[in-house]
Amino acid sequence: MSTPEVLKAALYAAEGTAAVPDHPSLKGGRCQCGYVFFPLQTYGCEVCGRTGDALQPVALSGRGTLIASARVHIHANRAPAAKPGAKPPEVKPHEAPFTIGSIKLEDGPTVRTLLVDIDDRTLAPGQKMVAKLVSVGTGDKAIVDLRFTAAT
Amino acid sequence: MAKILKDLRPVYVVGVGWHRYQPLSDTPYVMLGLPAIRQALADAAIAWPDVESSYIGTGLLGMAAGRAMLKHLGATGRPLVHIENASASGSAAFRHACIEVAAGIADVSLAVGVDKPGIVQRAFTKTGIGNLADDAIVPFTHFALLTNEYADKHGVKPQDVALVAVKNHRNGALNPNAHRQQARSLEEILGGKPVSGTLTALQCCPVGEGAAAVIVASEDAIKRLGIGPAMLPGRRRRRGCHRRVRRCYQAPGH
Repeated sequence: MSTPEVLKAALYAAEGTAAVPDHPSLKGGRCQCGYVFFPLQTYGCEVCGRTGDALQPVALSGRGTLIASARVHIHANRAPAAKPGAKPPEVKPHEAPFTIGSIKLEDGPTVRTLLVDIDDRTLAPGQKMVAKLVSVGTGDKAIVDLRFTAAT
Repeated sequence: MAKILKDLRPVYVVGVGWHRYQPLSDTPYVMLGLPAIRQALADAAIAWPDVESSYIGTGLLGMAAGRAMLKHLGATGRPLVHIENASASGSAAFRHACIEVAAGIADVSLAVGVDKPGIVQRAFTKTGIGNLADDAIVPFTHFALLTNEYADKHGVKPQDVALVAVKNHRNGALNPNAHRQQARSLEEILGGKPVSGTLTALQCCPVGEGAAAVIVASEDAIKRLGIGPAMLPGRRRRRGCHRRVRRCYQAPGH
């Protein structure tokens, strides 16, 4: 079986960090001033304003702590109406209900994304969370996207 | 050194007007904004040519909405500026009208907020910086996450947060311009349709349309145009005076 395609390769990689090799890593950045951020950008540091080479890529481990979550009960997909003869989307749309979490990564930044395989018990703020890749493709092509789940 | 507004000359609210807030209808935005402005002019008892500048706050109408609306008040050739500042577009328009009058650039200025629901592409999607799941995180979920974080930090329960909506609906029931004008019990708020996190439908802003207009003026204009001068400092109230004349930005403690 071939390696699945990563949906947002600019944001994360299947490979973990040296500290957390078993979970996907996130592609963040570190400024000369010490500020660590996600996702990587070189427009300018959000703390000190340094730009360009002062901002360097850094792999962030896929481990963090849940600081908030919300079960979403209503969601309207804003995808443009498919034109006749257009190919169906390659990725499954979000369908309510789903759960969004704010996760403070152990490397610093807070990210918000979908949570999977969770129940109310595991959703208390303070819960340790880890990143995982889940299949989101609709067709033959294997496509994976990043989610967070409770650490075991 | 920079000045603050109260270091400049006093600014007074001399007229206010509304088109009530309501669900999306077929009414063009022009006929939301114009009635609000005409009501504010009538409230101040001045005429449109007395207004020297206009600030139009709108988030979703699109480019240059004010020109196509204000022209129906008659051509005066006065400057107009559009202000898009997300949810704060109307209050930012008011602030700039006050600054212009306080600075002495104009004696009478109009601030109007007018909007209708519409789909605009939010600028953060055009920054070239990706995001993990912003297509799944609409504003109500942003606020649901903040609510959850706040509740956890301060030991607040969902019913405590819902009491804010009980208070807001009670106020709305007293306001003929409010989108929602029905008082609601805590049970109704909590038992409503779940939206995101602990937030239910009656705890989330309705998306609708409406308009509000404010005319601000200097003391010079109030005297020159005979706008209810009784409320100015050092004057006795006269019968039939205009009670809406209020100084903006009182010094702290006043």
